[in-house]
Amino acid sequence: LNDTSGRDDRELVEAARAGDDRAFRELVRRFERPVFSLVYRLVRHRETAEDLAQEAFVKVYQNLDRYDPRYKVSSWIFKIAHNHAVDHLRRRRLETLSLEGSPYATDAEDREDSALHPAAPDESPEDEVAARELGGALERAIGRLRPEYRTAVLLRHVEGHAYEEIARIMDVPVGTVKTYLHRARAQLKEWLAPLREA
Amino acid sequence: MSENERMTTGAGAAAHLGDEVLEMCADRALAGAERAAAERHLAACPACRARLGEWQALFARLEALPEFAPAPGFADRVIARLRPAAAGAAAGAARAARPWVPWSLAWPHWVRRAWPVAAGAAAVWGAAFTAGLVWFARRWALGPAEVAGWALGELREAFWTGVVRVAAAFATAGVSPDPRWALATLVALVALALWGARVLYVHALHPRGTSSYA
Repeated sequence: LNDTSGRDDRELVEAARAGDDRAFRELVRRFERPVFSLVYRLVRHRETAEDLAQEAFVKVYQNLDRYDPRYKVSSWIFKIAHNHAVDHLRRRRLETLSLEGSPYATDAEDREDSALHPAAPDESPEDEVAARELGGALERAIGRLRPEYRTAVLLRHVEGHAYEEIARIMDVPVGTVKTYLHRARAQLKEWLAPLREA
Repeated sequence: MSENERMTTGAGAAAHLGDEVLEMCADRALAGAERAAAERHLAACPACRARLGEWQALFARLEALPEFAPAPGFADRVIARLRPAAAGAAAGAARAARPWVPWSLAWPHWVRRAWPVAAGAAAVWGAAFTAGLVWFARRWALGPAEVAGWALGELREAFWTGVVRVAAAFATAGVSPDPRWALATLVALVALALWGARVLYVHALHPRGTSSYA
């Protein structure tokens, strides 16, 4: 019973809910990388991402009693982390890296949301790490996507979630997820095309 | 958009599969008749296969993206963030679980908090008093028996008589011609003063700090 690594995610949640700290630690260990990756690619700043990911796990802990075992633990944890990161983005408006804003922007606010905020010339070591990790063509293209498109693409292609799970995580209908994915992929294909042809 | 429109672009039998269908195909998200129709068309159409290849290449690049790891010790930092909340919850539970006792029998919180403060204050005071005794004995060339007698007489009504007796004994040793006694007295006084200061610091200045006195 003390071996937490052999238990499935739902059993770990049940044990953590009953006060087993080791079970919760194992839960964090299992999901720290995917949760951190998603949040990092959303906020594009390592320190902030780490802070938000930690806060997300604290929220997971505080809401253990509210976990619904009908759904996957991963979906529940991703939902908490995603909501937390999106709240942060709404507050900070740090979304993307496009100077002119997304061509799909439907109004001024969307355009501002997707506009580039160039890094200061005296980049901190933290910025340099992010530039190295997220500086590739594909990562930069993902960074230009609107946050909801970015989340959908990352959950689908990096984390391998089903459409229904993505809908649950993002709290939108499945049809909306398909729209997000279609638009995101079309943008990525268009932005990456010149590189493919070069 | 009708099913046929979604499936094909262009005119006539040579029409090609729509971009959305190819994208869904690459994502393995087509099912049933739609999937069968797309597969039939792809088998016969190199142009659509090439376009499908573009989507598949994009998806392969996306799926090859690495997962980033947080800095080492991430789980420890999460657990550390939980502790204040967990400690607060545990304290609340302990308060709730505490059995009821008549107020006259229960030690009030301030009493439990006050005794180490009082002990620390007494220790500091005792050290200072003993130092004064040593100075007094040297100044007036009094013998150990005289100093001890005076000190004990002065303090015999005091609540902390025991502490002062020890201190007075050290003080009388301080005027002894044997330097080992003088050194032992000095060390004992410094230790006593430090202990008292620590108790005062922990309980009076930082009453919420973790301490074996709590």
